[in-house]
Amino acid sequence: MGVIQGLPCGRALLRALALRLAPPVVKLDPSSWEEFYAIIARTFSELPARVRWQVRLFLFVLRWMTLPLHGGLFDLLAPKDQDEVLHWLEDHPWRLLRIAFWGVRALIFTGYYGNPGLWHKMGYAPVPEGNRMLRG
Amino acid sequence: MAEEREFDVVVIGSGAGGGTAARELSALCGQGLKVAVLEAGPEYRDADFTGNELEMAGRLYFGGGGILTQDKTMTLAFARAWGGSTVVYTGTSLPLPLQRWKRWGVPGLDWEDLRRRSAKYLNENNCHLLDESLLNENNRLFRAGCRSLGLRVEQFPVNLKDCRGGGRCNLGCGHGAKQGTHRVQLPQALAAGVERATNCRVERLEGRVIHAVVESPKYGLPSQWRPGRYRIKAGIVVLAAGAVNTPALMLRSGMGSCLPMLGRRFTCQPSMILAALHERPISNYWGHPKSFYCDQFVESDGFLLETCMYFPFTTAKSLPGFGDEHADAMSRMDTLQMILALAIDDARPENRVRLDPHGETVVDYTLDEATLARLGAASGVAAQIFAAAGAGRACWPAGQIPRPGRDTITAAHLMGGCGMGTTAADSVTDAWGRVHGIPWLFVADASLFPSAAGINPYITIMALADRTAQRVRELAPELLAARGAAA
Repeated sequence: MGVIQGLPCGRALLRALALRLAPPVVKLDPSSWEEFYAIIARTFSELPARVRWQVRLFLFVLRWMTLPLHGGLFDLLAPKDQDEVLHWLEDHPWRLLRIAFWGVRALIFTGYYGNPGLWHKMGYAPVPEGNRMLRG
Repeated sequence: MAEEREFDVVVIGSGAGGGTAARELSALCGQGLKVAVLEAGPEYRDADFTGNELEMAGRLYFGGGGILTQDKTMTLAFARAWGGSTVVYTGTSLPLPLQRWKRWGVPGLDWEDLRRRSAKYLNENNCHLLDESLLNENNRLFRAGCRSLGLRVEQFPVNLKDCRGGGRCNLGCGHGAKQGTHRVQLPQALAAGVERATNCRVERLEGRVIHAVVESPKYGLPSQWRPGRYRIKAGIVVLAAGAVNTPALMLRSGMGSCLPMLGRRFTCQPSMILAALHERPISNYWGHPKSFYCDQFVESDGFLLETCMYFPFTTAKSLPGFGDEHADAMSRMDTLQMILALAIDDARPENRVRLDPHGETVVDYTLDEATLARLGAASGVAAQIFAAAGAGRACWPAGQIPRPGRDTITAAHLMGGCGMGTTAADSVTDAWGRVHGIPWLFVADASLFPSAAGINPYITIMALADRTAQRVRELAPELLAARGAAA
């Protein structure tokens, strides 16, 4: 069953994308992976219906488009080939493809960078009394 | 079946414009008139502002802060809360520059009048310069970089009281330090007898009847009115729902046919978050995030630079690319110096708020070559500032022009759509916010701007709302008598 309702893939594609887009996810423990999927599912569910459909369509295309070119589904490719595909999409001449990639990139980022429980790993540790810290 | 309510004056929206208008119109309560404020979002307690980026963005901003323009190349951020966007701004308080007022060229909008009203709100909101000891290194480095390059750099007055430097102003202040309308003007309005309904989404106006729905979201305080549909009769309506929602509401109310400029000339000062890495941690997430700006290039090159400090997801989304280099920068957020580059965009009729065939709000906005070039030029100067401040790698190539759809461009200074002017052929309202041809309808928010402000706009919004409210007070006897006669 897909982690996101209606998504034509399961966690494998999201995990593969996360490993290329936000490499620090490789160090996540199982519970943090669960949180990663949960944040993405929540973010996805709050998108307008039309945008959810577009994301689903793009992920479907992304997963299968590599079959004729690279001989396998996206999540089964070597990291080097995955990067090549993602860079091609990121800077594609068609604006719609660039936008679709930008959206999926943002969605994946929510799962990792949007998790406050991981912020300390990024060197981000705000406190309510920031002025006190400034004054030492 | 809709519940019926009746007021003499109804203000729609409670942000910089609506909050100001409500307070200024509360004097009418003393004359026995009924005044109400309707706000789409909920009221929050300080403790509700958790600082959790995704959670607060989802609650405080329309579309979670990610409303996309029609071509999906830019996100628009605007708030829904008691206090509107004054709940989520950083409180940077600048009056409209004289040069921008000249560019506006609105007959009847007197410079001295605007200046005097802006000064009133700068004073009322406790706007002041932060003490040197409260400026974090991210801000000081910007100042140092600008100064070493000979650039003009100024400190932002900020409207804070007892700020503790939590640094997450854009997610709501957990200390109640920002002196937004929810802190200053709205409590005064309520004390004077103004009624309010939060969580109240206005759907349309049918003449002077407002059709609204009060909702019951899972967060914030419940509305003062019970959930359900409402039919609200008003003698005078003041629209202050912001530069997207005010024109959209008017369009949804069928006013587009007699107001050809309605929704048009929308501007938003598109921005990019630029960052560079220092070799060591700098204090960037402690203290107030936005202390300095460089407006030297506003008139000559069409861009403005400001200090900023954002949260992990927003930062990750804004840094270019992905993979190891991106992750390296994101793993050292405490070393990031950040600059917000804003393009001062031109007001163009084709950039507009409109409705799609289903009645949903759409913002048509094209990031034209001039705007993109301004962002590119801004990134070039920002790179020089980073280098002069001692930063190492800049995350954005100096001077590179952003590519729509690939690079993250956002806007939070939404303006225009109901511009002031002289006739319906060139504008939507007169210089006092009164809608052409609809004598009982007024506008009191950033949609009044004929073109971009060139700076952070909220003080100017308050000054214009103050003018609108004055005109409503002056005309209220006549307009309300006319309503009585019509009835």
